[in-house]
Amino acid sequence: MRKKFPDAAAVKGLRVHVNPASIDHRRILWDKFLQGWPESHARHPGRLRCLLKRGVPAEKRKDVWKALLACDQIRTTSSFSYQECVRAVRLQLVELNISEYSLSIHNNELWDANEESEQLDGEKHKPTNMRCLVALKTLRQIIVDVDRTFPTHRKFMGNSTAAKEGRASLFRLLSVYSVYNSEVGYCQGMSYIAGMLLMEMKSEEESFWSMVALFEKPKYLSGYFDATLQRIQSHAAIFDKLLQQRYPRLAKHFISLDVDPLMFVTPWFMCLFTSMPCWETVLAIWDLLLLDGISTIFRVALSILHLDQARCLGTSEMGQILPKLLHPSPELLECETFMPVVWKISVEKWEIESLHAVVTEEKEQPGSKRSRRSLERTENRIVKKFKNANENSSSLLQRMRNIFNPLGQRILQDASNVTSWTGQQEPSSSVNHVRYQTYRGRWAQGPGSARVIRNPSTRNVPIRHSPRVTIVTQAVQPKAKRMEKISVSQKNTNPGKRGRVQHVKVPSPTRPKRSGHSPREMKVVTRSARAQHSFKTFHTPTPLRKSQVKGHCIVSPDSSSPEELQLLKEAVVKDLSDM
Amino acid sequence: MTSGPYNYSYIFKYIIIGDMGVGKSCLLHQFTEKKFMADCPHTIGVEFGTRIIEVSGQKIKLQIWDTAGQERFRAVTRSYYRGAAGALMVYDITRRSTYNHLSSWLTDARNLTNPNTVIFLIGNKSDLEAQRDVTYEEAKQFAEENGLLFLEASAKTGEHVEEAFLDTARKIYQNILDGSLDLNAAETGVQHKPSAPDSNQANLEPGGGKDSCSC
Repeated sequence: MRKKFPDAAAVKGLRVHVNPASIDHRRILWDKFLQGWPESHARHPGRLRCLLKRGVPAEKRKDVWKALLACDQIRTTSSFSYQECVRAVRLQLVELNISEYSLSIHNNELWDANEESEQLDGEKHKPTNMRCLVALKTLRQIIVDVDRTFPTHRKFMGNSTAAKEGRASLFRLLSVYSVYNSEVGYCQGMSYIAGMLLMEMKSEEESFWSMVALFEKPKYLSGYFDATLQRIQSHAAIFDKLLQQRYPRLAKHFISLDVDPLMFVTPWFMCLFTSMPCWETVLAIWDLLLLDGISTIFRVALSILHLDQARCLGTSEMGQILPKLLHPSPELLECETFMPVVWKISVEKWEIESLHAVVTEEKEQPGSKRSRRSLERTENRIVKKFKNANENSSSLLQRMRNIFNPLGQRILQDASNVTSWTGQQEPSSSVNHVRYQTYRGRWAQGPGSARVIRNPSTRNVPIRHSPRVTIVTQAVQPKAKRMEKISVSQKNTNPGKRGRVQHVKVPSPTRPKRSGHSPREMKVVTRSARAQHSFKTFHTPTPLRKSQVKGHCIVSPDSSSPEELQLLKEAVVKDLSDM
Repeated sequence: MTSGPYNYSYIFKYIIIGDMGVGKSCLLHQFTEKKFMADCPHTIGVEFGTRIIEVSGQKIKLQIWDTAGQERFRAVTRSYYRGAAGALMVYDITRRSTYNHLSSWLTDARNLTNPNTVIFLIGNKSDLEAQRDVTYEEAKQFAEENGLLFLEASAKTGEHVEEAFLDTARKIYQNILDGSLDLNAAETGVQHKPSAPDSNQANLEPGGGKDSCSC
């Protein structure tokens, strides 16, 4: 295969340090590659990656991005005409008596004229004499933000003709997009991406179609800017999970300081890192992003934390961590040192999908890990408060109450949850509401729909050997149906094999408790998303695996065939769509 | 930013809310850096700033959350209201729409914070007198009707910016002194930090204790 491609040897040697003289050579390689697009990519998918790793020459970037985004394809298949829409928007501006070249938030024409009507009917009101192509509210928001997008970049800054044109085209781009997708309209964060595309794609119309590709394709940012901002929130939760797996110490440190990843990843993800101080790095990130899609944002975010880990761990206050995360230092993001880290860190698509399933599932379940995590934050606050109360010389009893009351309530609540999940109660038992059996071996066979629950009361039972596995064999009420579906598919693939039941290693009750918090004892492992994730993680040779083996003992040694993995994956996807 | 013993005795959490482009980030920047940021990019999600001030001889660290103004970001920014001791609600005196939306911001602030949260209304851009669209009197009346503190300020000139942040802190401190704000209650947005040398170490304990978590 390689022999057919004349520059294969050169491409193969990409990992070698590139000297400046080879820049021309790189250009030639890119030229050849782009000429044969998309066949060249289909035939040698790895080659593009190699070329990208080496860097995209500035003058080729436009073509590379266009090819990767396939925006020409969208443009030719769409019935929407950019130019026509621009003309229509202009007409609307004329009727409003404003010009795209003199947009100002102090231009009261736009605000005054329609203030009353807006108050009456909100956005739906459309004055009869006016063509309300772009909703007035959206128009105002765009005008407010156009002046504040890349305010220090010469393309958009100051009163020069070029800057005025730059702001006008940014305005046109955003307002036309709000017409193209009126459901999304305009959302803050879009303007940075639009500005970036204008800088790199040069042509306004091409920027528009690239923007459409970025905002509409599921591979990239579709759903990122919709009215509920649901996707960014779920991505922040997924990132939180990734962080717990890859950098558990850091994740714990964040919890102890009350730092939620949503705080700092929102600007990173929603502006696609355009707020980062090193432009070369931003461009390299975008190159990779357009190639690999959304997983890149997780890789980049993990890389930033990877490089900033020591500093973060050395701080003892949220006020010291957050500003540096919101605005990382240029030294940290130096392209030469930063990008190799990004290339090294991998986040697979399936990982994101399965973590998404986990996040969605935990959101639905009370007593889930997510709520445990938020409970940890509360506990942390309470402990802090306790220390404060200490200084305030309140009574010992009061202090004890402060600590134990919320936890005690929580335990009771969780206990009742467990009871309700298991469907029926044991009438005779006052301590153990859940029927359980303890198995001595490491592997246990059980019915397909078994649900493993680490019972809080297990530690009251005299157990002589460890590790223990506690398995509750009752059907689970709320999601039993879904669980069964998955287990059936597993059964079919691998009827005779063991390991279909999830196993949880329970530390011996005689050992000192590791977490120190009673609610943490309520470990619920389901057969669905979370278990599936652990299973897949174990069977995939990624860096995740090591930490997973350490952290979880949810493994199944026998069923590792690719077909089964595929089936599992489908099951998870189905699982997701069922929700 | 010393990591040793605390050089302040309280932490107050503030949140700045208001419509897009009213100057929330500029107010924060003016307060923390004492400079006007002319080329201020718009905020995505939240920004964060701190400054140590002195009220009645007590050093207080203000932890200020500056939120994105666009309506759809409320889904993300709502979580920051929780446990705020002070809320600065900002409108732009040159744009009436930003004033008209105050009631919805106030509803959010009242619903999502605790009853003791001090809400301060700021009419920003007071330097742009020629373009004024909202009179001082009507805003004052709105503030009085809703029991808010009120000032017109300018992030550009710095006029009344300090006062707005400091008055809020004074009011919170007063609430602590007269007992209407109970430091032991949850989510007050106030943390008392004793300045004992080992308190910093003690603060790390809860995190350290959880080190062996198996999740």
